[in-house]
Amino acid sequence: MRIALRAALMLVIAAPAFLSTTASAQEIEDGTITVVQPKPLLRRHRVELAPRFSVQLNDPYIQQFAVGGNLNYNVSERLSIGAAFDWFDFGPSFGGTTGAFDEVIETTSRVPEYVQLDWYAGLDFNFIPVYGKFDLFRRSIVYWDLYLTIGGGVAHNGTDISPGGTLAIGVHTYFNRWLGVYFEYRDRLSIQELDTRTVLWNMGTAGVGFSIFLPAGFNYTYQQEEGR
Amino acid sequence: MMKRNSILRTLALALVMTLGVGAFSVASVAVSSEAAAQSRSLTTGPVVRRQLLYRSSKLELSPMISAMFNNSYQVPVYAGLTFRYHLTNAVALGVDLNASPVAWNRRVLRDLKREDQELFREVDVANSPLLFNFHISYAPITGKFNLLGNNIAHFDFHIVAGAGGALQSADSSSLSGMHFGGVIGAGVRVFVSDGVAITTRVTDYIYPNGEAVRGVGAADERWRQHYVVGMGVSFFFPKSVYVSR
Repeated sequence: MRIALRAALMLVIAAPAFLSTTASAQEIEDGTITVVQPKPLLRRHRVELAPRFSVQLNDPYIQQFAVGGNLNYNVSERLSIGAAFDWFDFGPSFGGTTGAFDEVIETTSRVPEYVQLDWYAGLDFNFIPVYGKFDLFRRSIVYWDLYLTIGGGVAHNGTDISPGGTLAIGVHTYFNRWLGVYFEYRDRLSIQELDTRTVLWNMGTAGVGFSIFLPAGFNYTYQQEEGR
Repeated sequence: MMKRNSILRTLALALVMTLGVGAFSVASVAVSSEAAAQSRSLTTGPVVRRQLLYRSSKLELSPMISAMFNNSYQVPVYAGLTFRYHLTNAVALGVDLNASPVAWNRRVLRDLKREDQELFREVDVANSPLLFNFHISYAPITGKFNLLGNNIAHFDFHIVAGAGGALQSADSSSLSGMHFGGVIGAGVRVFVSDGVAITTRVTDYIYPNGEAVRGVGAADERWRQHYVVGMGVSFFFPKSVYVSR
């Protein structure tokens, strides 16, 4: 009788362990494994310095380049706020009107309207709705996230400063806990006075840059043991 | 002579791009075969085990809406269909067909039409009603992501290279006709189920053409890039997904 009671007691005590093992196995079999565990880079309460180089894409009549960047403070893992600045004026030898611009003048005897920005400065709000990992060439696993940016600011077109804003979408990937690279499409909108009318002008650029996080290190809330 | 040179340059460009992606693809097949043959140990095995092979040995059919953005006078909008057969989870062969029922005039053309009807009638702008290409596609990046902390989805990033061209139509014979060239591109598929994905793609058609002429003048034919940005839905057949070892 005692032996039977002991066996029943041991079974009751051991049952959760068996059940949890079974549950874990089921989770793995079902494929419901957390996307990234743990996240290899935490952003909350860290400063991000993000220099970039961009090329204008959206206007067939003009080609401009930009050097600039953002200085962001990460309020949480998903939200950051920061200052943005881009410089576009590198002289006539590095940017300007294109062959298509000359062709249109030759064919139609009209000068296409264009706006050439000198610089843009503003305040950006960034949101990260998506993060994940990918398998690169079946050789390595890389962590990445996607960010959306909305901001307000001012644009200078050589003579006037006009109100404007920014919309951007981009992807970060990371090399380690403090350095990453990002690719983005950034649209700077500004209200411009043309010869005959006032228009909302788009300047779309594709850019590449680095993300440098300060401080360089961070601690997880639940730190893993070394070597695990 | 110029036409012959153009054709030679076109063929050379298409050949270089196709060979480049082809070599990449063959290397990838070799690497994946090698990986499959590796031991099952944690240190030397593949980086992803039991990978969901969303593309392997499947036919992909993608209706798409796209637009060509860097023409000087018009923005043609295309309805298209892409057929692809995925030889492996990474490599596919495909055909892309696009027809343009409508094109928006750019501001310069709208202004010309409004302000000077006579000159507007004198300027002949070519339409590009048909775009097509044959391509090799390679997906170097596959992964999954978490959306707003709740939903998990699988995705891939793929590159495309091949040969293709455009049919141009215009009143002027110097603008009309077929134009052949090379094609490169890149895209992302996000899988919403085992057999359905949302696809976005940017394709650059590089071929020699002229866009407009005035009166009876000859077209200024030169090599141009034609960026086509599109979005659509990919349907995979069969729908079931293989799982890697």
